Amino acid sequence: MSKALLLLSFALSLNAADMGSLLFHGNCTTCHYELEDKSAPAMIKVRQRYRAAFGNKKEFVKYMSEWVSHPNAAASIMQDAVEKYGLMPELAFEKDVLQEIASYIYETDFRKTHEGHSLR
Amino acid sequence: MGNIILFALLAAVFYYIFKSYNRYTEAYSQEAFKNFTVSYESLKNSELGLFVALVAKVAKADGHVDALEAQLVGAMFDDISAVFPEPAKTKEILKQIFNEEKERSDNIQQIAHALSQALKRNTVQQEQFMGFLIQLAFADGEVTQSEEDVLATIAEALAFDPNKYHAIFDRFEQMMKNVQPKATLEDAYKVLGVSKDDDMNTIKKAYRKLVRQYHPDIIKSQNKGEEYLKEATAKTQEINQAYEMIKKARG
Repeated sequence: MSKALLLLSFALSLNAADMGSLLFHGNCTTCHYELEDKSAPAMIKVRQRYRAAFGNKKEFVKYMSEWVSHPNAAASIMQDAVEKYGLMPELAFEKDVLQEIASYIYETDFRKTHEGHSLR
Repeated sequence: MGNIILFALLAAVFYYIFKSYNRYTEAYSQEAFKNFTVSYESLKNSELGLFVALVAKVAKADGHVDALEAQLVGAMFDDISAVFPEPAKTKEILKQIFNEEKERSDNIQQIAHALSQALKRNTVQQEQFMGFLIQLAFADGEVTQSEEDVLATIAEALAFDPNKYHAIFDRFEQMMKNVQPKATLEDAYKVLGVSKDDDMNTIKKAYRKLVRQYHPDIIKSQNKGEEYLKEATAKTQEINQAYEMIKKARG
C-alpha cells in the first residue's frame, strides 16, 4: 500500500517537472534566453541573483512569482537589468503557474543538460 | 486432394488479411515499435515525431503555452513514449522536438507535408491527428486568429478535406458552448471529487490526476471513433473549468 502511494507520488512529481519545463520553455524563453542576454537578462543571471538574495527554495519561489505577477521597478532585485532592458511587462499569468515556473527555475542548472534539452 | 489445396490457399488468404488488418489497427502499439531504434533523427522523422512538432506549433500559436495546454502536452509525451522501447529517452527527445519546433513558424507546411507522406494518405489517421490539433487549439477556451491560421496551414498542407475540417471545428465550437455555463461551486468540488475543506494542494493534485485520467489520448484513440475525442475533450474541459472556478472562488 505505502509502496503504491510512493509510486504514485513519484509519478505526480515527475509530472510536475514536465509542467514546469513546458511552461518555462513555452513562455519565458521568448524574451529570457537561457544563457545569453537578448531583449531581457539571461535566465542564468536571473537565477543566480535570486539564488543569492533568497536562501531557500520557498523564499525564491515566493518572491519571484510575486514580482513577476506585478513587476515593480522599485522592488526589483535587478535594478541594473530594469535600467538596461526596461521593466518586465505585467503578463496575466496565474499565481500557481508562476510558482510552478519559479520552482522549475530554482531546480534547473541551465548550463547543464536539462528537461527538454537532451543531448543529441 | 484438391480440397486440401483449396483449404490451404484459403487459410493463407485469411492469414494474410488478418496480418495486414493487425498491422493497420496496431499502428501505434508496443508491438509495432519493438524494433524501432530510438534516436533524435528517427523520432523526428516518424509520424509521431512530426505530429509532436505540429502540436508545438499549435500550442505556441497564440504566443504562450498555458497551464492546461502544458498538462495535455505533458500527458501526450507520456502516452507516445510508452509505446517506444525506451520510454524515458523517447520522452526527452519528444520534449526537445517540441521545444525546438515551437520557436519556428516557417516550417509548418514542410512538416505537415512530411506527415502527410508518412501517413501515406491514410485519411482515418489524418483525421485523428487533425482532430487532436483542433482540440488543442480549443483547450484554452477560444481559438485565436493566429491559432486558426496555423491550423488552416496544416490542413491545407495535408490536403485535408475542407468540409471535414469545418465540420470538426464546428463540433468543437458547439461543444465548448455547451460546457461553458451552469455549474455551481458545489458542482465543481464534486467534479474533482474533493471537499470544500481540502487545501489547494490537495485540490491541485486531484485536478492533475483527473486530467491525466480523462485527457484525449492519441495512442488509445487509434481504434476509436470521433466520439472518443469529443467525450475526452468535454470531460477534460469540465475538469478544467471546475478547477478554475475553485481557484477563482478562493482568490
